[in-house]
Amino acid sequence: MWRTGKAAVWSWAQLLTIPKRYFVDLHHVVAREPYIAHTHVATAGGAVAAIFLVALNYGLMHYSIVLNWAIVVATCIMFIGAFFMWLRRRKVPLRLSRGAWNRLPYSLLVFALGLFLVSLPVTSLSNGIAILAILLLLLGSAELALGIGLGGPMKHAVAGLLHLAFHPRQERFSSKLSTGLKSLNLENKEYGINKPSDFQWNQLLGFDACVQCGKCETACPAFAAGQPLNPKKLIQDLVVGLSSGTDANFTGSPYPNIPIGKHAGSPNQTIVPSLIEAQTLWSCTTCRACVQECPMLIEHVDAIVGMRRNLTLTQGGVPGTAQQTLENLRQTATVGGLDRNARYYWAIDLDVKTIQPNTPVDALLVAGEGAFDMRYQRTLRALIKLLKAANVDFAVMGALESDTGDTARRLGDEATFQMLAKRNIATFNTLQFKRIVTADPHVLHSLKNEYPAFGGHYEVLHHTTLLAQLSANGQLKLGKSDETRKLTYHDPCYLARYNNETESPRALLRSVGISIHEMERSGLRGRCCGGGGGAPLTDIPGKQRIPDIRIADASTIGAEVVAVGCPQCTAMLEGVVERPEVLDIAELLAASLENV
Amino acid sequence: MIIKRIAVLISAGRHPTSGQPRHCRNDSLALTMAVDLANSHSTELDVIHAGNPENPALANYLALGADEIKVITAEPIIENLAANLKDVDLILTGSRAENGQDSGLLPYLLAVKLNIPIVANALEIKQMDDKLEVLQFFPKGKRRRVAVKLPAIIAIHPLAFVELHYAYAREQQGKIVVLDSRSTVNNTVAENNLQWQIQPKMRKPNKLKAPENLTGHGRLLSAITSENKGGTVVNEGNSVEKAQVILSYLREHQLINF
Ligand code: SF4
Ligand code: SF4
Repeated sequence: MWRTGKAAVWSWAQLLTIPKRYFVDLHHVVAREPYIAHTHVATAGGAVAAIFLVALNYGLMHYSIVLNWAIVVATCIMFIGAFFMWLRRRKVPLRLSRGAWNRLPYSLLVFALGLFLVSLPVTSLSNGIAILAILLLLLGSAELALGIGLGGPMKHAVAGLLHLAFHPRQERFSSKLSTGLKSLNLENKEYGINKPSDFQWNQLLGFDACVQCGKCETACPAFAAGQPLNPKKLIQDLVVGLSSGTDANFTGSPYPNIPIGKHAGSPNQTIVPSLIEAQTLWSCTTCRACVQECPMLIEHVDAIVGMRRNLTLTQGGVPGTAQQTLENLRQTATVGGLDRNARYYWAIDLDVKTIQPNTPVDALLVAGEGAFDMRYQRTLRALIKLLKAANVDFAVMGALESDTGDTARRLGDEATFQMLAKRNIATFNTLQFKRIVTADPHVLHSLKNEYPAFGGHYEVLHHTTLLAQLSANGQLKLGKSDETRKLTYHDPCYLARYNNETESPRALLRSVGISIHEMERSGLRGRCCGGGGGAPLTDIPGKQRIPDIRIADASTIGAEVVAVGCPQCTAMLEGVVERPEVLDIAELLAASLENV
Repeated sequence: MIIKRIAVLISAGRHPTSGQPRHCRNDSLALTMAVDLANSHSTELDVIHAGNPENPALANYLALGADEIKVITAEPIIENLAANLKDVDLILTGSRAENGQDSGLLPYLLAVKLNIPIVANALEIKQMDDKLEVLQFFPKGKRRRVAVKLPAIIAIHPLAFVELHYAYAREQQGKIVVLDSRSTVNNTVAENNLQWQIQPKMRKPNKLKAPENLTGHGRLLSAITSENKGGTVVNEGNSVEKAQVILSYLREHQLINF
């Protein structure tokens, strides 16, 4: 079935990696919810053990009484697990699917009970009970066997395990980050995902592993804001598309404002709009919260951007002001259609070097699009002050800087991204620097994680990472901050989830004597500000705005200051009318310099 | 009425800030409208550019929906264009200069040359029985519907109800062909021996404007009517006296300090 998808690199040996990945990587995610983790261990563990023992004892004709008792024990464990699963199912949280999934605990109970009775080493088992037991066993096994074959809930057991082995991002299992988007070979006319069979086969396998737990749905900021996106439904739609069906049997929450039952697809049919509406795809902020939460390690963002790419590259289908933005990027290499010579005007009176070919510097400051924004210029000026205080040998990029193309790539315009990436790499090649610093996590992400695919390998640091290093080794002497207001820190998605940097900003704040009051959802599980993925440009309507939700998080804990580390977050959060003050870490630190 | 052949005339533009070659938005609107018209009437569509076939700006039009661009390289432009547009029913193009001192005259000169009507500032084109109905743009919210018989030139206004869709895949598929390299008309036949000049855009002069002290209602009125502009008309006295009036106005509003 998955063979309809495109080829991907893989080998049989990957099957051997399943046990480690199952017990370590997957249970890492599941264990965040201990109740379900334990019931799963009991049920699945019991079932696997029981089936294994049956095979051993009867398949290999041992007929050992000891093994029989072991089977009894295993089925008891499974029974208990399934019982607790049933308990939870009595009051289903909204994020879970109902339908066949509600039947599952019963089937599992029946299977356990049947096997239990059959294996009881009592010779005088009355005929009646024996027949009942066999019946129960058959009924239970039907769920397991048919479910796997026909796409019922138990399908996840097989697809899930295979998905662990053949995951499209193998790096994720060697505790490396793998967040950069894969590049398209445009010369080969690779224009993204048009129909389900355009996915790689191991991506399709991944979609089939979905257990409809809805953790992605709970995490998704677009869903919470009432925009027509639900990552769980999206994955299920792709499953439906692969197996030629409609979404009528979907029993979870719909995409907000899009009724269930009107969409259908098949492997070779164009996805948008018959299976998935374009506005669903354009609602995503690419925040990766869904990927972070998914116990089956499914890659939602790759799927969404893959489909966006096809819309953008073959039909020019980006909505809202995104069309103009892409045109600006193509024609001026800036998001706003601005003069590149003007990017560093804010630094004119600060006496900073502009990098020149043949004049090596230690750090190259790449400011990004935020440099055109008067609000963010305050942050950049604060950063310059700090770099000077630490005696860093640095230079700004000046008129040589082109946009990194990050926004274009998230909007699916791979062609414009690659054009800009190649152009920047060619420029970097004429310059001499040891590392790049930037105050923009989106610049950080594309330069660090996505430029290597085009031959650009650089050490790229977020300003908080560099400042934390400088402060730790004594090169940067920070004073005590005068800030006495209650402060919280908002993790930018592209810094935390995309680059695993949650500690440096916090360490810096602590080092100037500020204590951080954490909001609901912070660190790697932080809630998005709504600014990523070109979402403010496509601007798909919902019932509220994502930054309002985030500011509500801050207000709930009574924060008076929200510390940030990203120009997008700054702009999005400052766009909320009633809110705490929004200050960049660099601004808070620079203020402390006066108290050294 | 059957439209048999449509032609779109496209020009090569530059970005006003970066100077990078690019499409002209107005012409792209005309192109998009023409593609829609051609598709709904299964009509033949010619996309024509007079100029340099190597100009990177042309690729933009491929991405915006032209399957093939025919380039006329021979001078003089008007005459050679006219020679190629003899049996075209409908000619679409952008309406006006993009900015500064662009000429924007071509559609008019061409209409004169071909001796066919031109409708400028078109927002919308609808097909009627034996003619086209065009919604025309006028300032201050005014609109006018006019009917035109073919053959005709229709020049599209920048505010036309059209959305542009730029698709990279189309750019890769599209073709640019040179129609001819030799002039089909004798150079001396060119009646209006226009000398086209191409020069960089000049900085727009800053308008000196007295701060307005209007109420909200007054501002609204001045935006939608032409009377409420205020000011005085000076038509008495000699030129020095008139200049004196202007000078004192500028001094009064502190727009100059000498
Ligand atoms: S995609 Fe992952 S997180 Fe979402 S419902 Fe499926 S298994 Fe759960
Ligand atoms: S990346 Fe973020 S916005 Fe997009 S589907 Fe996942 S959780 Fe929702």
